[in-house]
Amino acid sequence: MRARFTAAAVLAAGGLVLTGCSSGSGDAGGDGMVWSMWIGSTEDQAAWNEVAQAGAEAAGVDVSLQGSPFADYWTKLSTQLGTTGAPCIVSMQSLRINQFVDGLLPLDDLITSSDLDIDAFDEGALEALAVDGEQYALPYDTGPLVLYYNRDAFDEAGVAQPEPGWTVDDFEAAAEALAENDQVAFATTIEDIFLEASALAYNGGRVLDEAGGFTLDDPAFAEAVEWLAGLVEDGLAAKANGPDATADDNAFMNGGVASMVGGPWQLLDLKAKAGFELGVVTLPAGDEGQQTFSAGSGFGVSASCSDPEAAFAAVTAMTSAEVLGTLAADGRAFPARAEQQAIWYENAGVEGVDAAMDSALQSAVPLPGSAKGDQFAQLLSQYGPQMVNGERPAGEVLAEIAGQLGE
Amino acid sequence: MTGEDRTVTSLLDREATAAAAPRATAPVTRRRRGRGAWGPAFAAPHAIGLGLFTITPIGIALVMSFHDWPMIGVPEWTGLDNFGALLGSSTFRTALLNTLLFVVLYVPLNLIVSMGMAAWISPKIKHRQLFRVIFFLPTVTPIVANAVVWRMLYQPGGAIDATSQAFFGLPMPDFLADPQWAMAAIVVMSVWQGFGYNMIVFSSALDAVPESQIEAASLDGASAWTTFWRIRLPLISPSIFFATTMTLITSFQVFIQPYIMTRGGPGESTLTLVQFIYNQGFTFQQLGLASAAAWILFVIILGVTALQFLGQKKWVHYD
Repeated sequence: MRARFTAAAVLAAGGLVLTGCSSGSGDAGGDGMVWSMWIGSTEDQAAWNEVAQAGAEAAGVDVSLQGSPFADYWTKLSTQLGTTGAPCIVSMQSLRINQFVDGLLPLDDLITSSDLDIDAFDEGALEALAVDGEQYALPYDTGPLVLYYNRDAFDEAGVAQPEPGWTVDDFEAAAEALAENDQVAFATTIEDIFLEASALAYNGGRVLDEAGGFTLDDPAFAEAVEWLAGLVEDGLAAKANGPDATADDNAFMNGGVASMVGGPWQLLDLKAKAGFELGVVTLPAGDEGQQTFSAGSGFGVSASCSDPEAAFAAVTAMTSAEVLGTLAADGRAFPARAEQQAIWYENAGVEGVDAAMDSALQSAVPLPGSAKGDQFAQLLSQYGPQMVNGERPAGEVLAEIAGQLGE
Repeated sequence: MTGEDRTVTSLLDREATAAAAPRATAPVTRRRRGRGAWGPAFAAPHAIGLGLFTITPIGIALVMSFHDWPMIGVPEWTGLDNFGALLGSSTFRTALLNTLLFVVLYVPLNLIVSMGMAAWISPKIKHRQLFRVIFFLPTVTPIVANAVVWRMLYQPGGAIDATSQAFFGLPMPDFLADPQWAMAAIVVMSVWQGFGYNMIVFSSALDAVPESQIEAASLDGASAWTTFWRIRLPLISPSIFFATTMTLITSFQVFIQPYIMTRGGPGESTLTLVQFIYNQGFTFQQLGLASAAAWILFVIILGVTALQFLGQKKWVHYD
């Protein structure tokens, strides 16, 4: 009797231990591997599943897609990289790659030993995913930040459709005309990528220098934020929301505001969901002339992946001319291969998008990344609204953020 | 030993006695040995689970707190540096004060509201089961969903602001974006979310108060208020003790509400200790510092709970 109970207890304990240890590793059981990606909708999931399929065929193993919403993706990834549970294939955004390099495999040797034609990629997109001269991911998309706007709202307010290269003065005049028609012109945001692009376009202000060092004491950046705060104060722009990163997109989609900053990767989603005719134009240019940031994303291989060759084969296929052509045709990604960009233009289906993208591309510089990128993004969500909404002077808030970052 | 444990043990005792009764002549020592084998067998799954998933992580966190432990990379022994850094950090001090402020506001409010509701839905009320379910609903609804809905309610142009504008022509403050209001807004939402649990505890305890004692009191001329204050409350004091202890512990660990509704902002005005730990660990990737902060929180909660257990002798009646 006693022996039977001891055996039962041991079995129960064993079961518990096994349950506790059964969390997945990067190799998705059997002969498969995991690819982690940010996913925002079921349409996203369907499209990325097809990409995973292409990767699986090339690698000869199953590639299973593991998704999280964009904001949570980075937190989850940071807990996975550096452990044996890291996904083999890792999606990476150019401005965040610096903080993850220790968990990623440099791809240079694999690129050299393969027959991949690396020159077919856009040079800037490749550079954006390299750190200290080492390539950590192959890019699938790239692209300059632009201004999305509501063509119908502009028409209703009797405002002429903006042309690429339009200026801050043009924008302010349009915003005032829209306001007379009870239409808020612009959605402010505290999301790093969009806020930084807005400031750069306004007066060249930056919080990160080209090498990725913080320059939070840059008076031009503070001045640009004060300009945004002025728009909010005058009722020409909607307030920034700290905890809700989608507030600006939602306000734009439901017609609450008539424009917002965005990347080309959003075009498909915006066009599909907007109940109005979508327009694309360059960010309003300030005194320093037209400027914008470009950012891109790609796929890398984790340092702890047990089969890096297969993972690299999958990544190569997932960024092949064929796959990027499909993503471009869907409008999902402005492709990182120069040749496929024409497909994106043909299928975008938005009037004036070619001219706007051409103009933006010519004035785009890479958006730098920092090893403290996520920390900065978190601090922006806490402190950002205070400065963008004009509750506290931008210089004071930026100094506080700098203090918290230890800069 | 918790109440549940006591019940289980006494049930086991009774069963063992009943089983042993027909064989009253069996040697006493044998019976004891037999029971001894059952005990560890029943306790093993729980003990192993507790050891693996609670005590081991707590131990590992203690080890980590003495290291500079990056998310990716090699840990390095730093002794007490993490604790020193925390005590010198104004952000940590703010998070500690914010957490204390939340506890001081939330715990009494929660207890008052839940006790008030429990007293109100006494057996005399019609549809009391329905009210019980309605008041308990927020507690069983996922807290993340609740927080998202309340974030929308609080927004300018949201339900609260719109109602006030429509009826009184007064715009409401931007509750979650105003440092003066943000913590109060989170406390109100948390009380709404959390009072149902304590209400059920109190309601059940009130139901268990013997009717004869209430009757005796009313025959002696005690008013409803005196009966509640002098008879019912002392009789349900073990439940109040349980509710206070559990509510205090969970309120020190508040995280989801500020994380979803404010991300700790505006500025640091709703940054709580657990969010500080989360930020340090998973956003700033400093697991050593996060572990040190978690240990400080652990010790605070342990201390407060110990104080409560010491203090209960003065006001909790188990008779």
